[in-house]
Amino acid sequence: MDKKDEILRLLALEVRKVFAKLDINFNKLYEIRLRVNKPIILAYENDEFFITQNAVLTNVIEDAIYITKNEFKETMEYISNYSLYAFEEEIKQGFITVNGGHRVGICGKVVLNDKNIKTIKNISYINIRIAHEVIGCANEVIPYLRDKKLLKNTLIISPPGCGKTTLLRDIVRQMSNAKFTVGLVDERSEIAACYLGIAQNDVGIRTDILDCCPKTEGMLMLIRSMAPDLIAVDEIGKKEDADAIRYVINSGCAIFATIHGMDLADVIKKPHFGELISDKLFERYIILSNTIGRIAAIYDSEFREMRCDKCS
Amino acid sequence: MLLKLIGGCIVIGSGYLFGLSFSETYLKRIKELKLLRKNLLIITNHISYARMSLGEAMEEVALKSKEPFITFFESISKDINAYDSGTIVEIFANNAKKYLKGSNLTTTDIEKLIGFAEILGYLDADLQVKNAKLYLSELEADINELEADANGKCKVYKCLCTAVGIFITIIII
Repeated sequence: MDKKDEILRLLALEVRKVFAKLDINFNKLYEIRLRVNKPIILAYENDEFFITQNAVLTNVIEDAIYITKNEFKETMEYISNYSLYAFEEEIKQGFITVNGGHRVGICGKVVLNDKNIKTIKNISYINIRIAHEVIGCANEVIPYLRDKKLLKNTLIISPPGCGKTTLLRDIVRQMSNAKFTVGLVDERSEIAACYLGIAQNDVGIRTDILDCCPKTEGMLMLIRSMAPDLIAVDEIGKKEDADAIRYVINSGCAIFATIHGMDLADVIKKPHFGELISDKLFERYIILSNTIGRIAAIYDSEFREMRCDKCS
Repeated sequence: MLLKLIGGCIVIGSGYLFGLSFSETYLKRIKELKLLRKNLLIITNHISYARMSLGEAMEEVALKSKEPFITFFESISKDINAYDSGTIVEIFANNAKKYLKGSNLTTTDIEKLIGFAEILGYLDADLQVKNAKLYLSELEADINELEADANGKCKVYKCLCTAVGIFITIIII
């Protein structure tokens, strides 16, 4: 099933008819935003558009098609395969992952239970974020991350939305296919994007995935039970994450992680992670620039630059 | 005279057989309602304990059921997984029209079953299970009522139809 079919089958039948006639490149479609009784909005090619009844992208709101309450309900039925109750845990996180690895962000009335989110009901706003794998985007960096069978503990540093998760995914895939056993803690279900337990993105043939698992617990579980050669985690940030990383490295397992930051200096200032860096537990730092998918630099444990800025 | 007598016996016999047929239909309706109750209980339990998706739950029930429900639930499962069959109520209604019209369930029974579909798929599993149990208890009450009346109703059907046969015989003779 191609990307267009994966997206179309999520939509209510009447909306689907319009989208089926759309003449766009679905690989450049990033989001579809649906809000009850509001116009349908598409994020396409870094811009925002409405869609007309004749399936033409437009900036004119008067020509836009709206989604009705019944159509929205029907869309939610397709998204959840008529089983919204089966996604209770995902809905607490605010999203559902669907077939194809696409994530549907959800908003509505939040129901609390002792200050914890129990569920979201009266769902009236969703954002269908379309998954885009970039196979091969890690080709340039892979040679720096291993020395034959020896893996280098690596930290990928980048501002939000610049491709660090996409890069980590491809690194995991390539390492997994290069005969390394990989343990993946996919807390936000973004890397492997598991749907009914099956990874929708290609993360390699030797990757074991803990889906929707908190990073700290996940890393410890993998070390105890799955004997990985390397553990991959996305967006570390808490003290517990730093402690778990220390434990992983001391157990003889390599770690590949990502963190938010503008550059190395920014990350060194972060509490807990500055100590990991000063203790030289990481052997490679990959810095991504503000431009999506562009590798600004790679540093070794002594902060020596290993390559210059190149466009990816 | 002999011919009239034979004809009369045939008409009375036919009347009795009609009565028998009606009472059989009545008893089969009770049997099918019991089977339906069992099937819906299985679905409710799958939702309640395993949080199984509806499509899977329907498929599981079809494996354990008997006709006319095997085809009914199998078809619902296929429609759920086809992603183009409309809402769950529409799926139930279309399949009920196709596969349950020839069954011994009445129109009211089928309409109530479609009403059951309205509570399926909701987010709050506990609320869903409560509503399902409410429907099942109403179904249970209907079954009990039908069973309580079964003996009486079957006798009435047989007697009434036999009586009609006798009446027709008398008129003819």
